[in-house]
Order: sequence, then C-alpha cells, then structure tokens
Amino acid sequence: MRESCSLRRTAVLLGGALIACSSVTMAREPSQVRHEVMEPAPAIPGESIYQLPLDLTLADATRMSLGSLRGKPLLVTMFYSSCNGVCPLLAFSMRRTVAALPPGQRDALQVLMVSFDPRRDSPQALRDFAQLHQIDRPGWWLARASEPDVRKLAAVLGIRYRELPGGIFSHSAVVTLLDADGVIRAQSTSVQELDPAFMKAIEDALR
Amino acid sequence: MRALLLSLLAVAAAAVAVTEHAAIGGGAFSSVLPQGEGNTRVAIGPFELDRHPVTNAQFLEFVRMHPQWRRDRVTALFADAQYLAHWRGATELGEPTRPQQPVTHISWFAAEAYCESRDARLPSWYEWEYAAAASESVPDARNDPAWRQRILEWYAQPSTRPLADVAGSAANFYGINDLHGLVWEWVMDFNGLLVSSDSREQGGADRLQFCGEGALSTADRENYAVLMRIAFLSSLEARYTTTNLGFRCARAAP
Amino acid sequence: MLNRPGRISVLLLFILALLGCNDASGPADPAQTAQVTGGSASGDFGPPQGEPVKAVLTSPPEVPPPTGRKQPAKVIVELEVREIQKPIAEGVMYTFWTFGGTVPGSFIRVRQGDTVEFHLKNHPDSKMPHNIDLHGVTGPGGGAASSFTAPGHASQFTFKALNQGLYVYHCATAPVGMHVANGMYGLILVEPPDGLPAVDHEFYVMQGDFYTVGKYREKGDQVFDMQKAIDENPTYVLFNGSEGALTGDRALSAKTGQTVRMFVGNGGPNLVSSFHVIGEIFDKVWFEGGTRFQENVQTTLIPSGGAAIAEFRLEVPGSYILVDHSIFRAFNKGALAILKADGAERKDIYSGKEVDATYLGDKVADLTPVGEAAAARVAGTLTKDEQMKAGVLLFSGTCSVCHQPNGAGLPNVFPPLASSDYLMADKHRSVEIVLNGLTGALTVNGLQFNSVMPPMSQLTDDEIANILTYVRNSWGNQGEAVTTEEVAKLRATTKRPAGAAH
Repeated sequence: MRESCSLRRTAVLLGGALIACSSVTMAREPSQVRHEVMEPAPAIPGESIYQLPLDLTLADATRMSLGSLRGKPLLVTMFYSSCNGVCPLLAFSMRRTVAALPPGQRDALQVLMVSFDPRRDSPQALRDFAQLHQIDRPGWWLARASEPDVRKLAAVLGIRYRELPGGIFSHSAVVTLLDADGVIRAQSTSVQELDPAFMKAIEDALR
Repeated sequence: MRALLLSLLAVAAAAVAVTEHAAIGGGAFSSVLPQGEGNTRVAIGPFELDRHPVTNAQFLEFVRMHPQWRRDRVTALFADAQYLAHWRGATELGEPTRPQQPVTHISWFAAEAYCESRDARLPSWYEWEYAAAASESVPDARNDPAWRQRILEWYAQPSTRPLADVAGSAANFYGINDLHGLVWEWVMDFNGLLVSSDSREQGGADRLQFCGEGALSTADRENYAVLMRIAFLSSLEARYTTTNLGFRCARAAP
Repeated sequence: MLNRPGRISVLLLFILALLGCNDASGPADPAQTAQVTGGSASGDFGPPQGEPVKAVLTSPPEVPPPTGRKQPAKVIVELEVREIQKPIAEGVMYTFWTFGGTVPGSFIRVRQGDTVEFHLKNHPDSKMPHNIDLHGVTGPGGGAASSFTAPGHASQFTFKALNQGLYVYHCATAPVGMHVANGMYGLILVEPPDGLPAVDHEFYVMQGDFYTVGKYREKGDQVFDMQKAIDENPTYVLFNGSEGALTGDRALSAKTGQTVRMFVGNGGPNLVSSFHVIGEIFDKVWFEGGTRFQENVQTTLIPSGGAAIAEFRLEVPGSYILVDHSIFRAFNKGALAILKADGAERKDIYSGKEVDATYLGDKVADLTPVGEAAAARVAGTLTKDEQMKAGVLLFSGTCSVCHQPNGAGLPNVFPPLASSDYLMADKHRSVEIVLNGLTGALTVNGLQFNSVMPPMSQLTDDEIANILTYVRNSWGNQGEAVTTEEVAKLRATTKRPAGAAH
C-alpha cells in the first residue's frame, strides 16, 4: 500500500445476482443489530475505532451506532454523493475488492461509506448514490453523521478533507480495513487498480 | 442525592474554570488557504473565542470531572503515549508545572472533548487565522514586516525554555492573548489544510491524491509566518501530542 | 582530454565511419563505454543480501569509512533532527535546525544498490515539523512526502540507491528556504559498486549562506531574516555552519606526501560556490559529484544543492585556505577554512616564506594567539604580553597593508604609526578612528596627510583592543594597553558611518 493516492479499479461485482433486484434498500441483517446485545463483550482494544461513539443515519433513514459493527471485519471509507472526482471510482474500487475475494469470504466482510456532507446527503441522496453505483448488498452501508462526528471519524481514519464553496469537498481517498474488533489493520489509497498487499490483509482478517 | 452532589460539583467546577471569551464580528478576509484555485477571499460568521489558551488548572478540573480523559485511563485511539506527560500524576500537576501555564501534551480528541464539555468547540482554521491576524492596535497586521518578524523570532527560540503563564503579554486588537509567541494551537479542521507533505509541490499536484480539487497549495507564500503554522498542523495526527501544542475553544456567536 | 591511445582510437573510428565499413556499428572506444554507468536502469543489483547493517553516521568534518561491501545490503539509517542554539560567529548566537546536531548534518555513506531503511526522528523539543529530501533517492520528493515528522515523533521510509554519486540532502518543509538557511542540509555518498580508490584522508566540508537580522558579527542572539534571504543578500557565508568551524585548532590536518579527498557540498540556500584551495590544485575533481572527473582544476563550481569531490596530494607544508573564490564572501562573510599540512620543507617545490598574512587581507593563517587572548580576557587573566601577541597577528592581517608592517605608512598617503605623536596623544581618539574611520587633513610628526581611512568596525572589541595595544607599544611607541571595555563603550557611544559594520 503506497502512501500516494491512486484509484484502484474495482472489479465488476460478481454478485450481479444480488443487484439484479432493483431495490436499493440497505437492509440490515438481524444478526448485526449489535447495540442491543446484552452479554458483556470482551474488552475492546485501545486502538479500536469503535470507542468513538458515533451515530449513523443510513440510506433507509434508520439509525445505527458505529460500535454495532463490531464483530466482523469492516472496509470503511468516506465520500460524498455529489462528488464528481474520485468517489465514483472509490465505490467501484470497493465493489471490485469485495468481488476479488473468494466467495466464501465475501459475506464475512462489511462495508461502510460515510458522507462528508451531512447537509446535502440526506437518506434519499444516499439511496440515489447507491442506485447509481449499483451498491446493493447486505452488509454494505452508506451513511451520514453530524459534522463534528464526521470530523472525528476522519481523524481516526487519517482522512483529510475540507469543504469548498458550492458543496465541493477536497478530500483524500483512503480505504481502511478494520478487524472484527475495530483496529485498523491496513489502509489503501490505490483506487485505480487492486492493491495486492491490501487484498492479502483483507484475506488474513477474514480467516 | 448523588445527582445533586454531582451537579453542585459541576457548577463549582464550571465557576472556577470558565475562561472569558471575546466576541469577534464576522467578515471577509484574505486567507493564505485558498478555497478553490486562486480564491483567497474567505467569509466567516461572527464567533466567540477564548481570550487565552486553556490552562493546566482548567484541564485538571476537566480530567477530574471526566476520568476517562485521565492519562492512565485514556484510550490509545484518542491520545499517544506522551499525553499529559508533563504532569506529575494523573490528577496532579506537580512542580515545575504551573497551573496558569497553557496545557500542552494534549491531543486533538482531548481538546475537542474539553471544548464540548463547555458547549463549545475548537476554532476553525479560518477563525483562528482571522483572530491571529491582529496586532495590539490593528485587526490585520499581516503586511507589517515588524509584526511578522516578531512571530518569526518565536520560531527561532528553542522549546527547551519553560512556558510562560497565559495572558502574560498584551492582548491583541480583539482582546485576545497568546495567539502568537506561546504555544501552537489545535484547530477543528487541522486535518483539512491539505498541504502536501512535500512543501515544494505547488498546484498541479497529483489530482488524485487529494481528490476533488487537487491539492490546494497555500497562497501568499510570502507570509511564511502563517505558512509555518499550517506546516506544523499538517504534520499532526489527531492523537498526537507535543510539548508546545495547546488549544483554546470557540463557539458560533449566539 | 583524451590520452594518446584514446585519440588514436577515435581517429580510427572516424576513418572507419567515413569508409562506410560494414562494421560501422562496431564497438566504440572501450575506455569510453566502460565508464558509462548506465544510471538508475543499471543500478538495481537485486534484493539485499545478508544481515541488515546499521549505517555509521559521522559529524563533519569526519567521513564514515568505506563500506567495503561487494553485495547490496539493507542499511538502516537513523537520523535525528534537533533545533539547537549555538554560536554562528564569536559572540553571535543563532538557533540552527540540524540533522544530527551539526551543520552540515551527519554524513551518510552507502553503496549503489543498497536498500536504505531511513528513520527520521524529530526531537520533542523541536518547535517545527521537519522532513528530508535526499537527492540520491529515486521517488517522489526524494523522501520528503514520506518523512514529514511532527516534534516528538518519528517516520520511516525505504528506498533503493540506484545511482552512484555524492548527493545533498536537506529539509523540504515549508518555508523550504528557511529550513535550509537554518542549516538543514548534509551529504549522502552512494559509492560505486567497486568503491572509491583509497586515499590517506577524507574530509567533509559543506558551504552554506546565512541570513540574520543583525549585521555581520553583530553580537547577541540573532534571528533569521527572510527578506535578506529572498534578496539573496547573505550576512554570513560559511563552511560547516560557523565562523572558525575549520580554523585554528579545528583546522583540518594532514601530512605532506598524503592524498586528500574532500567531499564538498553546497547547501545554499541561494549561493553557488566557486570552491578553491589557496596554494593547491585539485588533481581530480568529480564535478557535480558525478562519475566523470576533470584533472588539474584550480576552482570548481558547486551549485546550490549540489556537491563535488576534490582530490589532491600535499607536497609542501603549510596552511592551505579553503575559500569561496567570490572573494568578498571569504574575507567579509566568513567563507574560509584551513587545511594544515605538516611535514618537511620542499624548497624545490616552493621556496618562499608563507605570505599568508598580507595575501589574505583580513585573516591570518594561525589565529591561536588571538583566540587565546579572547579567552583570557573573558577569564580576567589577560596580560599585555598576550595582547601584543594577538595584536601583531591581527595588525599584519588588517592594518599592515596600508600602514606597513613596520608602521612607517606611505609618504604623503598613509600616516605613520611608528613614533607617532598624533596616535599617542589621545587613546580614545585612536579607538574611535579604528571604529569609525577618518577622512580629511591631519598632521602627524610634522607631516601633512589628507586621505581616507575606512571604518574597521567589523573587528571585534577584543581585536581592536589588542591591535591598538600592539601599535601603542611598537616602533618607538610606549603607552598603556587598550581594554575591551574601553572599545565596547566607544562602540556604543559613537556613531558608525553608513555602510560600516556594527
């Protein structure tokens, strides 16, 4: 994984069958409603980003806490829906990354994309983006959060961004792999082609 | 009963700890950090800014009220190993640290948490730059070579000398102290200054690296005093602490 | 210039080409092709072999020993940035930003094809973030983008040294010119695969220009002056970061009959150096630190942000002065260093006495008594005898050009100092004249003079006190010593003319 940011091309999502259905609702699987869990979880590692209390609003307008994603590895990145630059490539790249995994592993990987732009990225805007970029599979969420929370999430992920006039955001494009406990295992700025070192890290995390 | 005691304690702590703030009217000004190619005029709304950086005493109160921010309990996600290293204990300053010195060894998360506990936030870069452009007598002294030279002289001093107490030198035009010459300060969007780590890259940078509008190179390279501040902030991650980095709080005007 | 066999080969080739010989595409002169190193395309010798090696870093003027390696290795370099306040000239303090605590920074020595794992550490007491751009790195920014380090933190990046040569490294944090002007530069040598031929001494010298708000040698704490840097108007031009870094008891030393190799860099930030060693000729110069050398060179240009390797052999004992031959920089801004060669006289090669004193104008070869007098004055133990010893050296370096070594002056032009009634009549007046100069008519020993003496205020208080003590007690003069305090007081209470130093 190089420090420089070049776009990694995503492979065509093999789950074409999954997106054949035109619905773009991001239904959460029941097993992932984790913030209701009652039994005590094992101690969270000091570097886990799930220590950041963050309230996400999803494309279906439901709410989810960031910490509820704990339990399975996660690919997380940040974007905004009116982005004409790299964000489409980012979405494509993440689809291709997931598709490049062995079929048995794909379902075990969650994907989260959080918007920089809570003012304009309403749940409807998130749905439109998902539809446009053919994102429709369980375990893949587009979300928005409050502006201070967006700044904090970017801070833990090492993503730089700033808002410019006209609703444009200048931002770095980084995909982060978290393990099941929310600790950063790898990051990639490679958006134009698959990043072999990053793929390996994902496969290790899924084992 | 317990709730009553806690709230009394909170009131007492708040009464001790609050810094006066100054109100600063909004306006347009020319910033070193352009908004888009070549667009250096920036408008900010009216806001309030603490008159001086948060002190050791104030932060100590905060840590006592919010023990998750003690240095022996804070999580590695939010602070590095040098967090509050200059205090003798987790809730004790100890010599030679003085209560009225600006608190340092503070991470961005800790600074923001402190400000939020006071219904405030860190200032944005533009708010900070706007307030810091002032000298004692004029709101914008940035073209005054003598003013710039004074700032540069601070950069030339090694960080080995003990920090002065806050509000030790004259306030600026807005009644705000210590924006220069004491400590570096966090801003809310420190990770949005988008200066390439190799400071020689000027525009035309790899468009994909900072996608959207390309890396924005700082305008007015002559104003190197401000440039150095951007360079410093750009070198940090949110969990970092350094010996000479503190903070103060701001809020939008009511 | 080609040697004779080379010329014959070229001629033959030319003839062959003209004849349209079938074999026109035949081999070029083997001596020429053997020297083409092929650049980075031929510089990758494969993965590192053996155990990782920790690089030996040295402080200037020392150079690490040859690597002696025959295989590419993994080399670990750990370099620390420290911001340090230290003298840039006597009595003048400056805050330098340094790699490894010195200006220039530590010397790094690796072999072509090595994989270098570079650790850059920024001391917690630093005020500024720093990074590093090594000119020997192939990769964006030369490492700068990957090494941007906040105070109290460290970064790491790895590169393969694909090209051999002598390369500058420097900090590239905004504002870059300021970081360089504060001393953040050094040299990295990437040895050719077979190493460099052995010599008796290797030295590390690096020139830099410095910009202070105060004037040259103005005492006290000085700070960087950005406007002077933009105007390319340095206050000091120095070898190895301070006046006197390589003079007196810190002069470089070697023996006659020995070969010397100098790795000479120019950190800039602005000036190009015309590097010359007075009294020596460079037998070989690897100009620009590259692979070809020129022979028999008097003065070589070293670009800002560049380097050169100069080799020569010492035959005659004495002091050899390294200068930037843009000569006002040597005498008025400090671009001066000394290499002392000890050994037996070689009258057959050089017969005369050392004429260093008058040749150099402001400076004398061996300034030890001057330094000793200054130290003694600070310690409170200064004797008139020590003042006289220092004074005679300083006089012959500065005053004797006009007033003559015997104080006789030049008839009708420069007044005598020997048995001078004018001089001895008023001690304070003589101090003022040295500080502020003197123009106009005066009578000395019954003779009329009407000339101009320029101000000599660039001399320090100690120097003026010692010179005048010497003059007032030589050639028939007999008088009290002049003290440093008297000079300092007159410097503070009288006005310097325009253009004079402080």
